[in-house]
Amino acid sequence: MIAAAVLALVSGCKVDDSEKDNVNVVAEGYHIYMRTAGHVLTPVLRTLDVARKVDMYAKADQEGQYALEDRYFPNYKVRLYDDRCVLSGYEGSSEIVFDGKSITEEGASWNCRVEGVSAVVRCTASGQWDIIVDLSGTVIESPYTIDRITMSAGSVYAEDGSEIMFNGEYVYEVETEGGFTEAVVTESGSVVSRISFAVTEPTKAVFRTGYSGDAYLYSVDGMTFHFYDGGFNLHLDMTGLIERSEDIDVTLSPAVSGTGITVGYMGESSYWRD
Amino acid sequence: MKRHVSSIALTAVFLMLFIGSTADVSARSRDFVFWQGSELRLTWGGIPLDYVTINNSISTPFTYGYPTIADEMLYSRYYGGDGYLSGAVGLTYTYRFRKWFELSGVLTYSGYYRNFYDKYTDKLAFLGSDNQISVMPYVRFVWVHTNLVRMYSGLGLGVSFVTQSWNDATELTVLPAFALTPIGITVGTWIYGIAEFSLGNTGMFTLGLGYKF
Repeated sequence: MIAAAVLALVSGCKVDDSEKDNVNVVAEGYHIYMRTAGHVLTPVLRTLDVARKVDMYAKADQEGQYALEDRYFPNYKVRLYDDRCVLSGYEGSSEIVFDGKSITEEGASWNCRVEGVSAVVRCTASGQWDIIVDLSGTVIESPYTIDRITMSAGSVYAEDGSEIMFNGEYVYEVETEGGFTEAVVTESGSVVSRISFAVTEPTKAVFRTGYSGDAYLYSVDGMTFHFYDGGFNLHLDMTGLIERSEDIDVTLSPAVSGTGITVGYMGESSYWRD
Repeated sequence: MKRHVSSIALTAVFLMLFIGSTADVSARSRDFVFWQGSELRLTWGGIPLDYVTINNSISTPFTYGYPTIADEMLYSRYYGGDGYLSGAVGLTYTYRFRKWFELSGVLTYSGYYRNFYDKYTDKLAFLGSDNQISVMPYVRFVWVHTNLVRMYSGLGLGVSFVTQSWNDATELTVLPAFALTPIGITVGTWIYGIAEFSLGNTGMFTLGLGYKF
């Protein structure tokens, strides 16, 4: 009996505490938003960003070009020709084809193939661009494919009329709407997630590099556009192993650094800071 | 907490040995007598060096940030409640061939249990468990043998069957099992208390009761 008592006493060795306090259902919504920003919106907006940086490079003297190469294209060899600029990188190349005008001139239209996205970047007005994506020529990071997207972006100006930059990067005000698909095959079956997205208001974005840790998941090779001062509405339709249909509301605070990200999902709301 | 556990362990050791030593108080006054025969032992060993214990001793907290949206939905669906390890519960049959040599068959069980809950409803979804059953022949060399007290060393080698169950899926793995006992002590005659220090599937610190017949 004593042995049984001792057994009973020691056999219940608790080694794990309940994880209940760490559970946050809204994190799924945050995850979907961050994936959208990092893996879909970023590569599309990147075409404009690279085009503008190439434009700056083309206008610079040789010393300026060295500095710009170091600053914006450290992982690329930059080859500038009369009608195009080729960026050769370890994991692929990008090509910007000029039309004879600077991309900052109204009416300019450049054909860009940047990091898998083929698009025409068109200057519609001073400091305003449309990015028209050629879906058939676009391959973004697996397992994502863009189904449709419209995006326009504009420069952001200070009161004195100068263009606002942050850490040497252009700041854009973005309007976008579209959808993408994530197709994943697991051991148990496949899951297809279709996500539609639209900004709730013009939303600012600035390019950031050096993401690591968990944040790396939301970037492409540690690089992503950071969105702030605006918001998004997203909708998830998931089929296959899981059937889900959920709305996600994202509100982004005006702070460019330490942006407050408020996510509404499944009737609950949570806050992150990025 | 550590002091609390130490107190329980020490109390248990003394209890085992006390039970054994009081089973036949007259034994200490008699000359040592050996007879061939059998024994059954029921033991519990803390900190067994087995797959179940090692695999579940380091917590992996509930996390987000899976590589895809699908993974996020699939793998963060459930969260764990409190998780428990059983330690190594052992049943041993022994035959005494010589006063210094005994041969045993050891059967041990070690398990880990954790309820998992659906994060959307907080309702119990399933019981996750790992179970390990080990069987091994075990030789014991008795180097102190009196009527009341035996001290010994031993070695066993065998095989383990591990089942891991998670959300209706069960996986079976076969692994080697072993027990190396540098020192063990029994106190008592017909019924005796056991305390051992071992490395292996039987547990690092083992307590129990035995019966000679």
